[in-house]
Amino acid sequence: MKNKHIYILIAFLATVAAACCLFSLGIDSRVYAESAEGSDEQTVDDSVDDLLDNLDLKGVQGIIATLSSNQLEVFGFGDIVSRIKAVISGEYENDFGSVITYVLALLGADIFEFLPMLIGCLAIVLAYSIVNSVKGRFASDAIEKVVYFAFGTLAVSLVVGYFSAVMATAVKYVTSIKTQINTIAPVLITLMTAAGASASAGVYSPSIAILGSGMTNVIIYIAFPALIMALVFDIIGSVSSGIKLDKTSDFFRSACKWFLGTAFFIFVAVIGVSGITASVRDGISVRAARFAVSKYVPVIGGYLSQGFDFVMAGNVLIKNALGSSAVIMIILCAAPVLTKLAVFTLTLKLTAAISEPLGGDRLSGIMTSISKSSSVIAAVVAAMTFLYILFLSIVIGTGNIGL
Amino acid sequence: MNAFAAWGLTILGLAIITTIAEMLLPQGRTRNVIRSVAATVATLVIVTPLPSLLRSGFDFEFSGDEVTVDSDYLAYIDGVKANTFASAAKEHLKSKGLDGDYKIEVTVDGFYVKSVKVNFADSIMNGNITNINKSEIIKSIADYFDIDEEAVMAYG
Repeated sequence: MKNKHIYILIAFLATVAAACCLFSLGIDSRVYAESAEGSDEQTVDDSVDDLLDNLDLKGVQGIIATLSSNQLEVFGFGDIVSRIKAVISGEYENDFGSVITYVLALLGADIFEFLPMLIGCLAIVLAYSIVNSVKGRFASDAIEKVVYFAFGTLAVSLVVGYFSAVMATAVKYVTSIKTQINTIAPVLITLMTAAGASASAGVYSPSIAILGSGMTNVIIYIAFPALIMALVFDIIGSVSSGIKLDKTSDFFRSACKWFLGTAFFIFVAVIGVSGITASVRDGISVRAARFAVSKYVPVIGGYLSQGFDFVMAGNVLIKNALGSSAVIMIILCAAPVLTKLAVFTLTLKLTAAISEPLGGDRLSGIMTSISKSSSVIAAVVAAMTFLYILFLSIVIGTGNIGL
Repeated sequence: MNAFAAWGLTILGLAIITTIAEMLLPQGRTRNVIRSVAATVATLVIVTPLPSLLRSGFDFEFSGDEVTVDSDYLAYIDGVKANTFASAAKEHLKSKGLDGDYKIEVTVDGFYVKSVKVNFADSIMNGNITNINKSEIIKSIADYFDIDEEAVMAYG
């Protein structure tokens, strides 16, 4: 029940963050389109082209190269420069229909992937139930335990095989988030600095280090091993009647949730408050600079400030287009992992639900315990994705005030 | 990490041994004693890392690698700004009748002019100015950018 609430909360927050991000991008696009239509559209486009020619986007291109053909189809372009230009010019808009189609295709593929596990587990439960019913009253308690131990070990081996594959996908994904943050964030910070938002750039730099290094390391080296430990204790507690370790596994899961929850909350609070403050300070300093520049040149001030506007607008436009592309990229990368975890957890719960009436109460308990661990892994993956999207949304919303 | 894995594996091994022993032993007092002993050992193994963990304390240093900005790009942007300033200054001087082939190089700090270099080496003044009035040009540039005259360096 608690997990459901966490999922709903995370999904809601992620949706709000993504909506804010894309909404802010929409506003920006409209503002710049209007200003561009008015006077000198060709010059703004030329300025963007010049800036893109000089900006090092090889790292971002390297991330795009890792996307699958289906992901590239949704992403729209195989080249980041073309995508940025298309977003800026308004020729390309994010098509959420294709994202939903992509997610549904992933769900279908995952269901087929975990179907053998469901059938295998049910076959084991059925066999256990038959053996239990035919052994009669002649079999001793020890034999019953041996039979349960054998069937339990078989079922656990089958499920743990799938679990390890899912776990590997989650670890790979968190590592890929780390790569994306450490590749895309410096480019965004460069563009913010170039646009005059140097105070915000200074504020966000430590946040990138925390998000791209600290948080991902905590997840990979502390949270995931703790969750694996919880899984191991769950399995031991379910299979063995000698040592009860259910509460130990609950402790690990609970500690993991509290630790990550606190870390996420602090990060969101710090980046939110400091980001807003720095953004306002940048807005004021950029306006002051522009006022000073127009004071320099009383006769031909328009000429000079227009040159500034093109440079600043170009940088802001590229920053926002790159930020929105990064949001789409992370959604495309997170979707396969989250759907896999969701389908795996639901398959385990379904197996447990079907096993219970078949007489496999204890085997059903093992499935439920494993599904708890996979639920927490899904929550961690979703929370990390949410943090990254939130960070990108704040960066997209920063540095636009001066224009 | 290795200690963490070793800790988990110890508990796992203990649980497996206890389960097998429980299966093999007959019902009775011995079985209960072994179960109690196993439970006590398991408890001890579970709490063993706690003292060393509390002694070492928690050190979650979040200082990652520094974010490296694209300095070439920022230099390019500064170059664009500097060129824009220089062009504007030339236009301003031209409007004051101080036109010539001298070159102006501007060094910027963000959106502000830090210093200016004026190169008179190849200057061929037009007909309006018969003498190279360097000091007047320097003063005009300093006034224009609202900087000290010491920040305007002339050579050539």
